[in-house]
Amino acid sequence: MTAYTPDPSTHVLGANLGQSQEQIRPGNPAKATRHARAISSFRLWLLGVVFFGLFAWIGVKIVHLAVIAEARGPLKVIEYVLDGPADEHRRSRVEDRVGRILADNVYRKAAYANPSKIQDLDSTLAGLTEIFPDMNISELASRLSDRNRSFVYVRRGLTPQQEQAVWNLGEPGLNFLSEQHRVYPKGNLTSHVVGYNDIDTAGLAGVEAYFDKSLQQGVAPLQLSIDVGIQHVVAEELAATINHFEAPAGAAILLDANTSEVLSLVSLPDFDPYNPASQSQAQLRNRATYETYELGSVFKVFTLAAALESGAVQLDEEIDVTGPLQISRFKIKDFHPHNGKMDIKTIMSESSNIGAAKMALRVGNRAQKRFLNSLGLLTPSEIEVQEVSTPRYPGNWKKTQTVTISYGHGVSTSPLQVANAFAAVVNGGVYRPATLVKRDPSAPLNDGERVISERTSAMVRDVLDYVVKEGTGGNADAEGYRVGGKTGTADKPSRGAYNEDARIATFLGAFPIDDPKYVLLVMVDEPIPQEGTFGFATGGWVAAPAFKRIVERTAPMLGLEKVVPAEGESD
Amino acid sequence: MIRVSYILWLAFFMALIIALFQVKYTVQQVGERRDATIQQIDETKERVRKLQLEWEQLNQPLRLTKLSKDFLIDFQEGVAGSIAPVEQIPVRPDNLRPVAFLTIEEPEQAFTAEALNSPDNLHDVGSLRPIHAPDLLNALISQQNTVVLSE
Repeated sequence: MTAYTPDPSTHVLGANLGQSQEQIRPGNPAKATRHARAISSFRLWLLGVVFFGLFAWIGVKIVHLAVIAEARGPLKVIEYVLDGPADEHRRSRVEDRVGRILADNVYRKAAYANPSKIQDLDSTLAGLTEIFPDMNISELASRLSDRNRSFVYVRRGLTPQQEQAVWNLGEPGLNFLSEQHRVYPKGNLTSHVVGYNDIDTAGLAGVEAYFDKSLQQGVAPLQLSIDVGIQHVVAEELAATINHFEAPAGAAILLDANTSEVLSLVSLPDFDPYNPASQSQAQLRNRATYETYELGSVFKVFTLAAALESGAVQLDEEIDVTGPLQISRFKIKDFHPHNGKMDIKTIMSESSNIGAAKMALRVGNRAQKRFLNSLGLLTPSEIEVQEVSTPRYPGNWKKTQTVTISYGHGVSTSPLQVANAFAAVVNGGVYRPATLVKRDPSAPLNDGERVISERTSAMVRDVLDYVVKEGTGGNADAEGYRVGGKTGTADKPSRGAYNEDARIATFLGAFPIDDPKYVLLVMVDEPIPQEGTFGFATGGWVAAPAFKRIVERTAPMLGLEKVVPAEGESD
Repeated sequence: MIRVSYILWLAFFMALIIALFQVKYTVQQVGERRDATIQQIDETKERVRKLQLEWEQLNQPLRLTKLSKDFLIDFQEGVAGSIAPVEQIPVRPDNLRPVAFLTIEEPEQAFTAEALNSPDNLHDVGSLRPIHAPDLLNALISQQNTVVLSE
């Protein structure tokens, strides 16, 4: 047995044992043995401590997860499953202002074939013909015969019964995949607002197209300002009016007068969002936001507001409305001619073109253009749908144009823009762009852009109240509510002239007019005079009654109290 | 002594290893259960989503209007005056205030003297005054199971 001679270079821990090289000398085996044992023992303890530490850490972690973390609440993974996050692969839901679903995605099965794996083509085709009687089987047969293909859609959007039936065919070349399918539970009712998607759920129209990117990201539901209940009432009354007057189309918009949120936007005819390709152009055309019209005398409200705001006209003054008014080569006439002077309220209640023209001439063409521009009537609307067009107005805006625009001919805008501008005029004078997105009611209202003073706005409201009480808007006088507004009847332009047999009948008003909460525009395209309207198809006879009925039905839904008439005032 | 400590250490480590394996397999099982639960939750969520959409479809205003006309006799939309501040709503006169319900579970027993005198059949809703069944005899002639009484 040779004496143990430790090699200092191999004793990594030697220095830590506190022993010098002198103490381990050859010829002292007892010491060398003790020394070796001490090193071994130390290593063992060190290993034990490391293992113990690791196991203790695992034990502590287990106890932490099982007891402490559990006591704090469910594990994160459970939270993830139960509460979200949003499904990033699923297109976001679209809701109305109270959370009713307007559009959502569900997963549906699609059947597809791998032609190279089909065992028995003839029996497969026979089985598919039985399951899908409407299928073009010869076309499918030609595609399935191509063995070079590995993927051929058989049918998308299967019902569970169809899926089971295809499964029962037992053909290994047939398979299924899950696909998203867009569902529109309210169907045609909100089609012009919500729009539609293609088969791969990419937005093609309405808010579906406008918000396509954010909807694709699958974030929180998009909550619109639309109220489906209100939308139904507005659509029902507009449809009844259109049917009664045998009109091909119409539009109606209900706005919050202060926030400019759109509570209802109806364009008729509407379309089936599940099958837009089969719908006519007339159905797909959004008459509330995309089509532009010369809406006639409703523009006199803007003329009046500009005249009062600029000081060109005083509310208590009278203007000579003896006709006709000759401007350049045009003669301006009134529907109800009057010789002599007429006060401002009567000019509006009788809808005098000459009176409006003279007010506009005092304002001047530049100020008029500037004012209409401040109301958003000369630029495209900022509304959140794909279907927005640019208003048309004269490039050469001179005296003649100033006159015709004063009573609503010459500027062609969408009904939504006119309603939006009207809201600014009656709400105290602040313009806020119309929006289809519900605003947070707890958030402060944005400042908007002041376009007229509160005093001017109050004067305009006073005049509009008078128009309904005493003038052409009498048929809009809703039972139990104070409304104010203006009628409009405009001949439609046709081949460089105006067609007297094709009109746009409009009523634009606010309720309650003493403190407007809502603005409503009803427009009917080319109404035909009926017996009950004594041969008239004007805004006062066509659109005003619809306005009245809509106000009477929606005001209780909107929580508006009945107005108790003051003493001496007729109800 | 050293051997004993070795044995103890060995036992300790064995126990730890067994515990660790136990935990590992338990975690695996929990993971599988979790995956199954997640799948089940996803499927349920999808079903709920479809049911919500069906509900929305069934609640199309046009359909509700038709159902209301067909089945809700005298049910009308709100009109001017339907909305009013609470303070404007008149208080119900005292003589019309319901003071008690009389409920008799078995109609055939309703007109027996025992049933009418049984306190079990009386449910005083307002505790305004004690109810005596014989006083209600006339009201019961309407042969309704539940009678609302007025003072």
